[in-house]
Amino acid sequence: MTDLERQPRASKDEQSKMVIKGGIGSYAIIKKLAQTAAMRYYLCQDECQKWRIFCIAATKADNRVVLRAQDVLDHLAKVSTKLEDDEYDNTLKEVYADDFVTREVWSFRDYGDKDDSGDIMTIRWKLRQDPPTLQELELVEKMRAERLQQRLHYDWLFPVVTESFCCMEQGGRQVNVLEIPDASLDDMTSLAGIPNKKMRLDLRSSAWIVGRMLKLQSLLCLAAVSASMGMSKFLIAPEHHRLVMLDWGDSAICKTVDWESSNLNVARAGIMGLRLIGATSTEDEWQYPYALENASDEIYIQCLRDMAALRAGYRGEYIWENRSMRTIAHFKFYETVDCLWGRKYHPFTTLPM
Amino acid sequence: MGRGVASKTSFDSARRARKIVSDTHVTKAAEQQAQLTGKLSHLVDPSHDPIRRSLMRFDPYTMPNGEMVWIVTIGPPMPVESLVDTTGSMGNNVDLMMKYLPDSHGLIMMMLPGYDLQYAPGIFGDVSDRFVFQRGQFEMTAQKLVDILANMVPERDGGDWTEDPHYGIFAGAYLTNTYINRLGLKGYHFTVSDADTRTGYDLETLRRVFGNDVLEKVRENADGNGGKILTPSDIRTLDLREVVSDLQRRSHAFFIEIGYKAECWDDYYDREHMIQLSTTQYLPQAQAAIIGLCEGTLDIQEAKDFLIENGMLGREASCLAEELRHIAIGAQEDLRRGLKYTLPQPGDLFRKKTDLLPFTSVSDLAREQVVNEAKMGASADAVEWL
Repeated sequence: MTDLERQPRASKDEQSKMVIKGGIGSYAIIKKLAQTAAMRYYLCQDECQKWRIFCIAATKADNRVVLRAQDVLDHLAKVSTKLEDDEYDNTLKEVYADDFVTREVWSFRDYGDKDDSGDIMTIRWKLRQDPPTLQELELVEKMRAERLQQRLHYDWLFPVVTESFCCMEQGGRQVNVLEIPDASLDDMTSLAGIPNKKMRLDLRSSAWIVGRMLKLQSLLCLAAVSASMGMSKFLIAPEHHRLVMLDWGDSAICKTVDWESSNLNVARAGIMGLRLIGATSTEDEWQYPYALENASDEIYIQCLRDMAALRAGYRGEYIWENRSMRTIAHFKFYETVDCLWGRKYHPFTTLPM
Repeated sequence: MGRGVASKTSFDSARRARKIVSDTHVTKAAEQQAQLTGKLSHLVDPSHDPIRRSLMRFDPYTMPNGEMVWIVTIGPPMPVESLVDTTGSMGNNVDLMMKYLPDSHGLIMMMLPGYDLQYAPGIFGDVSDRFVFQRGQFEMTAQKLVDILANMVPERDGGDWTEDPHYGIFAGAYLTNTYINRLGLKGYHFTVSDADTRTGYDLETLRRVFGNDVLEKVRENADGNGGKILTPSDIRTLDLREVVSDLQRRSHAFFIEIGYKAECWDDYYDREHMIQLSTTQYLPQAQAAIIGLCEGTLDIQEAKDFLIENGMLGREASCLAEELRHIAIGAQEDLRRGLKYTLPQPGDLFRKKTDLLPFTSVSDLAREQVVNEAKMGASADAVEWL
């Protein structure tokens, strides 16, 4: 068994008979997925047949690692909720500001002599002569609702700890039961599985993965959490554009931002991006041995090289931009990606090595 | 020293912490206290440690070799000082400043990406008032800014028609020490009034406002700062024109006239540094636009849209946008282009807090480790999938 991808749902006969009772629920252990030096990961089902990941300490001495991972994940959940609330408040203020409806209706209109000065008195006067139609008002309401539904979704980058307990029947080892919110474990696979299966990604598919890694690093800075990123730590659900960092065994909540860790993760994101597109590392540089669709794609590959070597201003320190904080690298990366391709949907595309 | 910055949420929390629930009478407690004691809070008293400093913020950092150095947390500090008239019809300006503080702070921060905004509010009145001038420190967090405003004591009295903002301008010119000046850039200074000003200084009033050792403090500030040393006889002949000129060496200093056009200010501020504004309600938008135009983060073509998007009425925005065409657009951008070095960024490392430039950065230190990791093919891979 190599990964989670396309595993059929376990039938009742196939289900492991080992059922472990936690403090809140009980979990039927299905199969072992992965392991680290300090933790073991199992696929399990709770009483409601929901798939979860059962993470147990390798030995009793590793309990502190599991507990620390739980603290970090709970802390990240709190920080991301607060960020979401703040963003919602700001959006609410914007979409219910005076003249929001007026301005939006004006933007739909196509007058030959349309004055683009944006002068609200002129706009109001014009709309008094030609009031908004019911259709236009419905469209504005729809836009308002869509904007209010938009979310930052930092919470999609890490699992949620639904329960943590000490399992006496397993030698007093600590357990974290993890859930990946709004995603099915059936659809998820280890990111490391892509190069391991001698596959590579096209450039745009790699861009959303690297972007998510940088978004995660920005969250880690905001939350003052130190954690190291690595290919094998991530789960990916390509159809849903989900990237989740599963393993937090070496993470910690710090008093202040760990700059070294932040810079290392920025560089690692660049290295992972290069590996995912099939680039190979030589003595001095990364080589991309495949033909480019467009000459401008070289700009993206150079961006990954610069990030991997922390060159050209790619840094893990953060800046405030408008009302959000991102690492400098996150900001620069999306400057490049937006210039090259914009933020349009692109189907996840794998290619042979 | 920290990395706290202000946000809308933190301003709301700070107001709640001080039990400020209304947009009026926010300084009531401070006014009552001043009535009883005859003194200002040290947070706003210009005689309490008169030199106001805007410095880089650091955290301690241990190098891999064990050496203790300092790491830049936010970025180069950008001081923005705003002095507002609180006499007569302008008496509720502190209430307005408190109400619009989150917007003001947020808009100015948008215009200063990469900088550590350090904001110092101040108010002035008349020489016949108990407290001629009140000045906060350069602060970065919502709690401190709310505390400063809540501790101000606007006297609201009209006195005579002429007011005395020139003591605030004196403080800006001679009692301000900013790191940004050492780098070769300037901070921002705004004086906001609807009246004429007196132009001469007297030592007695200077001592009343800034303490008996005001001239010693001016000298202390001048040492190593390229500033001017003033003697008692200099004070007798000191004129506002000279003070504004000295202020302009340190800051992009602007005078914002509210409503009434006070002719006398034309003698002290040139057209590039004078703005007319209909009401202090729009001060946040005006100050942010001025800073954005000087920094180059706002284009003059976008100014009107920016003002409207941030709450100004169309007609008012048109008038202000027209005023902004005359200011020193790109002034800070020009200074930045002339620098021989890159501005310090978060993550840069300084051996001493008083050094001008960093000796390296965390990303430079990390670079070697990262390149080694990449060569070994390791990427902190820790999970073995079965």
